Amino acid sequence: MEHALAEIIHESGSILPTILAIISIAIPFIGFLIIGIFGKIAKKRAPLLGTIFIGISMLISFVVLLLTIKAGVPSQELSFTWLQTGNYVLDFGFRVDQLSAVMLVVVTVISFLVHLFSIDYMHGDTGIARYYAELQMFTTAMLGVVTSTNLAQLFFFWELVGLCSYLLIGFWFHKKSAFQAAKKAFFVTKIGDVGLFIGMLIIFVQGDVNGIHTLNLAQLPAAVKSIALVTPALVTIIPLSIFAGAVGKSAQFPLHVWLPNAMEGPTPVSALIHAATMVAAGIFLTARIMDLFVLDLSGTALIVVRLFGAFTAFFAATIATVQDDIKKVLAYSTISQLGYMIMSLGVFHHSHGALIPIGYTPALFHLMNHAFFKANLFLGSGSVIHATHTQNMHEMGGLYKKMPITGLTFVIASLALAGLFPLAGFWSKDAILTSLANTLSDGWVSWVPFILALCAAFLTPYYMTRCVWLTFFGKPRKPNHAHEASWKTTLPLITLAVLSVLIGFVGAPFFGELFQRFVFFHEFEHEVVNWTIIFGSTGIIFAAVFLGLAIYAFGWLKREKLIRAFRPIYVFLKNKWFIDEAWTFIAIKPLFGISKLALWIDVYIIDGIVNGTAWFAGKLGQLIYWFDSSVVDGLVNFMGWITVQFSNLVKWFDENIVDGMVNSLAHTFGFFGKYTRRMQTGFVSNYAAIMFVSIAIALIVVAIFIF
Amino acid sequence: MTDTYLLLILGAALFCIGVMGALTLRNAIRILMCIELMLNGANVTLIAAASSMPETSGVGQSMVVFAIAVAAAETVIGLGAIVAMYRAKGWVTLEKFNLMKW
Repeated sequence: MEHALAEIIHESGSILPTILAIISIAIPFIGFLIIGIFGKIAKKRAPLLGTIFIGISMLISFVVLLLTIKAGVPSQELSFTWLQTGNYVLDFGFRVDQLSAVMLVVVTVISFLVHLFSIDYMHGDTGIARYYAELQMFTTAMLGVVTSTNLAQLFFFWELVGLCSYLLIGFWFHKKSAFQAAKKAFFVTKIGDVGLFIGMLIIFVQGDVNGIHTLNLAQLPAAVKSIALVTPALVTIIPLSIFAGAVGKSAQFPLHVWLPNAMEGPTPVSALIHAATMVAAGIFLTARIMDLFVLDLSGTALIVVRLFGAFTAFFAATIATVQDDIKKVLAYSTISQLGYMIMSLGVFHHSHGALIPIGYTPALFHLMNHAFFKANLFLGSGSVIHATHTQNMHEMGGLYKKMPITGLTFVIASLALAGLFPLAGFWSKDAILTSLANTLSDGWVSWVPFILALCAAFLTPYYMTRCVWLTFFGKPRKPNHAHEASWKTTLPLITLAVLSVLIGFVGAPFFGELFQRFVFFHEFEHEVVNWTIIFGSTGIIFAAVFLGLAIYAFGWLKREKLIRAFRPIYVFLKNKWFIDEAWTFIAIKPLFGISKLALWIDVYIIDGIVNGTAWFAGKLGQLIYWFDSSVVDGLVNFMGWITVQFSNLVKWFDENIVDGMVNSLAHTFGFFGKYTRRMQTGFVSNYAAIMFVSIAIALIVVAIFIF
Repeated sequence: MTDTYLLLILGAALFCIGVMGALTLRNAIRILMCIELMLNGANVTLIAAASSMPETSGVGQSMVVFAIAVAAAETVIGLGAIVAMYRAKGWVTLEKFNLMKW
């Protein structure tokens, strides 16, 4: 049935949005090629060029979004067969549905603003052309992820996104910490990607849609159903295995360890990749395969997703409260908010024997809002870091007077993140909490995430208050000459702040739920306004802000005293729940252990065998020596005497006749060798050239003989 | 048919670029990359031949997959050798590397 449905949707859309989307993907790719190839020549122009390319791409994305809103259905797919072996078919194609259209706009808008912001931020860096080329490549890959029609193609772009992330984290690769962070990000996300790949392979090999093995996203439910007929357990395992990829990419517990380290990259990169877009790719993937999650009617798969998200939301928020580095605070805040989205994706209720993921739309709504205000926060922190040359919040303070625009936009975005009415975060966070509250009758699998989410909702305003106060207010704790940068820095901040205020209204229940009517899962779900949640969460925000101010602004509660009083908790949080240590203990130590064991075996056992053999051989040698010197030598000496006599005879023959022959032969070879030895130049290239020429001649000769 | 020819030309072109590079470049890493190009030229040729003969049902493609795996292994060894060379000598210029000279 899904198949038929997909066909109908497939037929009904127009092809124009697809073509436009392909163009908007192609433009940054062309930009990447141009900047990448001619970067050395056009070093000065690379920023402007890149910004213009993304600007055009952004405008086209707006058109795509408008067309999709107007049509209300996904556009027609444009694809070709990429690979066909027997009945295993892989397509390569593009399609724009409502979710892709929203993602296209979010990605290009933030990418454009980051490009603009970076002009000043990266000014004077020797690698600026490389920086812009990589940003362009990243944008291409990210747009590819959201418009792919095929899981394999999605995986391809997904890995490309990971590669760009690796390159950009390690942008300042001469710094040891930067390239180590890049490696860590790459390896840790790969752990998740292995799960994604396994899930994909199971579907491709086992799934059977009318006799064809395919990974087309529209056909995946049918494929998984055919697998479920044979092995029912796989219906839970496949989506979770794909979800492992999302856990890695979206930095969920326990694979979140790479994201805080990824802050080694330039700050605009953190804004674009590690706050707004790439980390959202995991959310996007989970939403894309929601069709597979709802096939598991027991709901186990979705509950696992929900618990992972809820725990991550809570645990990252606790860590964010004790970080000193402004970017680390934002990084843990990002992990926490991503956990919120993942949790929301796992919220469902049963209806007529089917699972309705009621958290689907709120999650994607939060994804969009979060992208804007978190990009704003990161760019704001970039502006601050650029001005003060430090990332430690305890060395800042009092910056509001010196940098009013950065300060104001940062405060607005913080309040949006906290979820204050009527800013963006309020609408989506309360939608998530409402959807979760509607399923509380399901027992602990809903209660536990709900409580964790409320805790995170309390911690978020608290750590943002702390961050804002330490950075912008109070007395300057270290002298600096901070001042606002040019319009290229402030314009993105202002734009994002305005969006952080306004974007929430597109999903507000009081304004017609435009977003929910546009992006939904199979059918639109009307959201019932829950006043308890609204007032409760607002109360929580005020309480948290008050607590934060009480500690950091008014000094009613002394920070040192609190640290002393709650020392074990503080140490636990300061060390990030010892997750990095746990990874070291679980994964890295055993690896070194195995290596050491191998070394030990090598040194003691293998070397022992060799040494033992040698000792034995030595003893045997002594025995043989005795035999040799007494028995054999006597014989040999006798034989020697006879031989000497004979030799004298032969000597004459040898000196006169044989030597003459040999010498003349040697002279001949020496004569030739003088010339041929020049071929032995010792250069590999020359040998290779001779080899190629010989083979070519041989082939020509063979060809002549055959034809 | 024309598709096959185009692919064959592409394969040949890749191979020739690889040969040219392998013969003229000095940096060992670049030469390794050129050798990869040659391998890929051969792979494209195989694919072209396989796709023009559907009745072989993927034998050519499988061969290419093997070739890619072998190429990956070869690259690992080659890079290992280059790294060893770099550690020992401090450069990877093959022109200077003429220990085999008479």
